[in-house]
Amino acid sequence: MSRLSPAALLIVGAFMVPLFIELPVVLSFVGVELSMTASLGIGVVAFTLVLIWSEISEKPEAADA
Amino acid sequence: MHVHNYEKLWLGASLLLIVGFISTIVYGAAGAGVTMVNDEGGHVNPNNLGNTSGFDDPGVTKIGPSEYEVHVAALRFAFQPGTIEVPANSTVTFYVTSRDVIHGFQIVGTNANTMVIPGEVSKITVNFDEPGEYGIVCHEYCGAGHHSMAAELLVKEPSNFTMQTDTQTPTSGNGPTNATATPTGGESA
Amino acid sequence: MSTPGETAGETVESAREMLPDNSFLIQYPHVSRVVRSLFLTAFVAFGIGAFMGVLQALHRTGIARIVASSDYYTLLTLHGVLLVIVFTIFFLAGVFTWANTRSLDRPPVSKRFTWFWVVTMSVGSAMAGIAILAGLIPSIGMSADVLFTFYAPLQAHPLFYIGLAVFIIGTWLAGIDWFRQYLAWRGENTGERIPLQSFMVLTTMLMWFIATMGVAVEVVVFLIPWSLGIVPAPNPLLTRTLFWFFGHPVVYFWLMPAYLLWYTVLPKIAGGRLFSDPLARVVFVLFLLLSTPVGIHHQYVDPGIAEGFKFIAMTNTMFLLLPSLLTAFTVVASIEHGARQRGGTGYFGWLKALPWRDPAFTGMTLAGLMFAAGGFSGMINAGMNINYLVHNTIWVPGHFHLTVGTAVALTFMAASYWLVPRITGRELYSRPIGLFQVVLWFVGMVFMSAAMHRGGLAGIPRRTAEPQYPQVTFETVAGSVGSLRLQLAFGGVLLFVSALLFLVNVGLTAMNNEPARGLDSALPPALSGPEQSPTVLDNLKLWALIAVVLVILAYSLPLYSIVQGAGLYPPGQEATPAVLAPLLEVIA
Repeated sequence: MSRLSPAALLIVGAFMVPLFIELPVVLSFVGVELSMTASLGIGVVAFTLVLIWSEISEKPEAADA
Repeated sequence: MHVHNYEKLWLGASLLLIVGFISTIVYGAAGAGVTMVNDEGGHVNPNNLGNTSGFDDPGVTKIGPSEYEVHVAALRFAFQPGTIEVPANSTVTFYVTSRDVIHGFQIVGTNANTMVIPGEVSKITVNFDEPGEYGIVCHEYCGAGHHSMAAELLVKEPSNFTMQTDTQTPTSGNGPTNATATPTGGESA
Repeated sequence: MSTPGETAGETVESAREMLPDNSFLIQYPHVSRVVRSLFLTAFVAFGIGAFMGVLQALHRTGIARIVASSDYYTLLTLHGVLLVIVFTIFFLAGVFTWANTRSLDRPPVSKRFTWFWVVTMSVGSAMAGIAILAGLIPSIGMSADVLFTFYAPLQAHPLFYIGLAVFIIGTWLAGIDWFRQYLAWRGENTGERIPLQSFMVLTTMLMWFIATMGVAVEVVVFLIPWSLGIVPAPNPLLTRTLFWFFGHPVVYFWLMPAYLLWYTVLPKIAGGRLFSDPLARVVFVLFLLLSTPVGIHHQYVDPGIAEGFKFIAMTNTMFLLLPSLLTAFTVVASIEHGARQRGGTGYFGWLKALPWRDPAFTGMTLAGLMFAAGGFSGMINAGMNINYLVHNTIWVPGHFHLTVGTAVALTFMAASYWLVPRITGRELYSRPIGLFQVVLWFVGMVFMSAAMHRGGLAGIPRRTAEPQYPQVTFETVAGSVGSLRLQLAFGGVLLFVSALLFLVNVGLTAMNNEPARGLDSALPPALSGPEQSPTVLDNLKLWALIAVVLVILAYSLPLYSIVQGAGLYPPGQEATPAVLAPLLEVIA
């Protein structure tokens, strides 16, 4: 039993997109250069982690979000 | 009328935000001296620019020790002149008008930016502190060749700068004289 | 997509029999038919407009140039006119017809009159559309490559301007229809408060009547006679100012139906009730008062207009933030109330209790969220000195693709998933596809709009087929111009795919033989009802009068000084392109 339903994963994923698109701009204010590709790559990794967390749950009866 | 307490709080914060925005703009105008393009440039006959002082020979004119005037005529699909040279550490007033339709005039990377409307003269005063090269683009759709309409502005070291226009006599221009030019719109470079 | 219900025959009839008696379709079959035909036109325009959009996204980024760059502007004109005139206004006419009928609980007074304005609007749109499309075929000798703003002395074929005038008259007739419907209700309900949805329709239409005066004078007095060769070219600054007299309030004309849906439908879908009915009325009155006397903020960098007038427009514009900020509060509070009714708890935990699986809810909520971002970039535009940096750069399309392109368009799409079953009696074809579609629109717009805003800060101009110049280098804050182009094009493609999914889903819904379920259209009463607000809020005559006075105050002096400056028909102005010369020769 996964923690997040497909719909919830879709919503969580959608909200992550603006964060990782704006990350390079925010970092450039403090002088750190991060390319857009790298930022989106980090985003994909972060989403994969969420996915793993959602699918490998310890309590089988964990409720859907 | 019943207004919830949270609503009152939000309403107050919203009004504060709005007043704050207006204050920053008032400060920009009064404190930092950013003035808007306005109606000082006067009117011209777009079909008769050849006989209009300044626009009969578009280009750079020296009007003071470090003050210059630049007359620019926009037409489908070019600016006259296509290359503008001014020295650094100068105050430059642009007079821009159109021979045909509505155009735009933006010195890319600065906030020197104005609409160009046939019959009206846009007047913007810009300070150039350092040498550099800028592109100028037409930013208002003016016809099928709009995307090719651009020019360049070269801000030169004062020591390397010589007036390009050979024998042009300094004129006071067709607009109001500009002896006490305040830095306006584009505080660039 | 065929117009459902009229042709599909028996299955529909049997499906309809299964609908509850209190469903909108059973109570008002004729009004439902009107709304269906308005939505059909809106969705066809949306499909074509979206296709033009993806062509432009690929063209200006240099990824795929399918048409010649000189034809790009024909596509751009089509994109603008089809999406922000035809799609938005036909859809909102459908929403208003539904909302006015539902909340007054009576159909419009005359069926013939209703169809008359539907046909008038359609004929006007078709005329303008034909004039624009003809620009792709040079041998016809007709074109309207003037973009959505049609600034003179760029000239379009007379058919374009006449079509526009006919269309606007159609919208006026629609407004008159809704007012007649209201007056008929008022005759039987003296002393009662105007039902909220009807109040929203009426205030919006009053605003529209005032706003369209500008464009009506521009088109009928100046542009039509000029394009027919009867009068010389008008003062370009005057026609431009008249355009923006209309050009700013028109954005609230698109937005108000979205607000209507956020205030009345969204709380219901979220499982709750509207937080405050009085505040909703205040918001709509503020929009009626403040939408029009702000148009000069589109002309901050125009020559020929004194700084003082620009300053007044700026102040009014900033106060226009107020109704939108109030809306943000009320809508979020209503959603939170809904979530708590559904068992949500905690400071933020209630967010989990919301019906995120419902595409109508998720779409409208994402649209509202994007509107917050669009509102902030709008404040930058409104700040007249910082506007120097972004005026007519691609920042501006970045801004309005968040507002009209998402807050309005995504709300309309999401609302369709809720409304189309109510006017067709057919169950939504697929909720999962709907959910995926609205989220895809959000993601696509994040990509595209962020790239546009950033490109604008680098000085890349808008409205151009090839923003690549030998003389110019654009310097970005972060990342390269190349990566911004890829980001913009990628977002544009996602948006187009999302638009297609929407059309397919709605099209299959229109052919779905499964009867719709859960059609209850009754809206729960607000937590604070209208009885808690002063009745003066319902005095439409008073607010209309104040709105007119504010417009006169804001516009009489600027218009006077523009006409004093260069005159109505200044010398030396020439039409471009001079399409009229051959026409006159033929007549002579």
